[in-house]
Amino acid sequence: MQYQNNATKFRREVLIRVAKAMLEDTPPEEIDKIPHRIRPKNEENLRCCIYKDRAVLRLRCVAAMGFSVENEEDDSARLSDYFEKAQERTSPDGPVMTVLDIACKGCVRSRYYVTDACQGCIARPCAVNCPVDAISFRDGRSVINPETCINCGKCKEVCPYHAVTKVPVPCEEACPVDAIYKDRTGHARINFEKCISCGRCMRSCPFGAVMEKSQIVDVLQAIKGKAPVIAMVAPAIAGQFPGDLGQIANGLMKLGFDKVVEVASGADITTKKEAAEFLERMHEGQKMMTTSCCPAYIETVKRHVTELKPFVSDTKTPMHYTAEDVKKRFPGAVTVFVGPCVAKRKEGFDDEFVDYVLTFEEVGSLFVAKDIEVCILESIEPDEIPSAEGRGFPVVGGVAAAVTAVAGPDAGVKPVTINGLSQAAVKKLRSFACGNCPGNLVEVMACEGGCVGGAGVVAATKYSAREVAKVCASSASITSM
Amino acid sequence: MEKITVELCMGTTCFVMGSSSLPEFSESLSESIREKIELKHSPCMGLCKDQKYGKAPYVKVNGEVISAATPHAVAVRIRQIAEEQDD
Repeated sequence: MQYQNNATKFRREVLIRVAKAMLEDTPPEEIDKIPHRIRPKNEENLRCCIYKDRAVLRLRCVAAMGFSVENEEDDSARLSDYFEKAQERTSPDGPVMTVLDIACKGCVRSRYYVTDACQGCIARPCAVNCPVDAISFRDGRSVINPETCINCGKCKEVCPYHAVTKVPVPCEEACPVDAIYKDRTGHARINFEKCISCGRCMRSCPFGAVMEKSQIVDVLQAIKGKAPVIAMVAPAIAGQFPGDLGQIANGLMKLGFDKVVEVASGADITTKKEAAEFLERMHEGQKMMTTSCCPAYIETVKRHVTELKPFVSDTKTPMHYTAEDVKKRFPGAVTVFVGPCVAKRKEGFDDEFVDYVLTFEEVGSLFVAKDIEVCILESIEPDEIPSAEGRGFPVVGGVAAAVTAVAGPDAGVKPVTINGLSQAAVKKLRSFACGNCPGNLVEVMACEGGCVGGAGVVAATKYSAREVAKVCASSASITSM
Repeated sequence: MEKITVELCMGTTCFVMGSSSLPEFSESLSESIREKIELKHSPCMGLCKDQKYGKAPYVKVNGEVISAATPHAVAVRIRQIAEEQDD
């Protein structure tokens, strides 16, 4: 689904309001009114009525304050109570995603459907080719019996009028690992044993019924504290806000961070280690190696494609190396990863050096809440300039290109990229594990286009990929450093 | 030739609410209309300051404000103006 849509907007507006409440010490009675402020009287209903619109917004606020909303125990609890509880929290916890059950439409099981375009032809290829005789002819046109239909799609393929359409369940279709199921009431639920925290369901639900549990309250609380708070920005940040890297860094300082470091520096460490590891593995006679920096991919291997485990690089991610370095240089500092990724939250929970993870969407909401106009800020110079390759990590092919550059022309690197972890891509990965890989270095990016197309981005993928390329063009190659 | 000014807001609110996809408005316009366009990037135009964040991003076409702007909405307005100019 096109990422710019109303569901995205509502999510962002909620984050802005919650951040504002935090920054301005909004009184509790005003916090309780956030759904009313976003959805005032006399505006067009999005759902059945204004009350449901507000009830859903209330749940969005609860998720924006960092809580799971499935099976909310006390649905009469006030937002201000949640807000207070959020501020008392000492560390955020999993799972990463949460389903707003009342926002879920409860889409019926994915099915094929004959539309009005059916002409009731006499050839009836739909009925003739149906392997289970699920199609009958009624009132001048074909009808599919949902009880017998096996969803093979043959009828859709053969109809000369394109009259058969597939009505999907968007979240289920987007989930690469079959982690979404329906509860007794027909609403979507996430099986967190299977979930890889990629955020595809959140992006794909047309009702905005999946959200992630935000950490904005936690981070703002940390900023209020005594310890220095350090923002570690992923290279995909180029183009996420209107301004250059230095202006964006300045914006983060204005938010109250004490220092901003580029995760691209950690990417340089990842590149060097991964290139060395690649050469070693090939020397040992292994057929292939896959990259390891996409956390949704790593979770996929752990939970679903365990046969790939021996091929996954043991090198840690850029976030890890950056956080490790920051903790070493600034003992006692709080580390906050700022990136395009929802799955990084899961990685953050598991990494001892990472305290919090924010998405660009959350940081953008904080900028808005604090009236920070990035485009008119002064650009601040970074202490350390990472390589072009490190800064190029977030665009599809970027990680493989970096490893190839360091491994050298004689290493015989044959890169293969998995651009987007679709259901088909997971199948492909399985076949790679069985020895059917057309190359020897597999780069996996769970999001189409790479991290710049992540579930937590603000800018359009095309736009940000261009901005990332500009930044890379002005940086030196890792081979010349 | 009469110009059509399109002012895209580069303010943070507009950007967070989706203005980065707005330059795509020109993709659906004919070459002759595109030649008339004078594209400007403006710092925050101040239109979001009444806290109606959901109404961002804002675009001004010949000074006229389009709220909750999409590439399509901007293109439609430009085409209308171009037609009026031709008449």
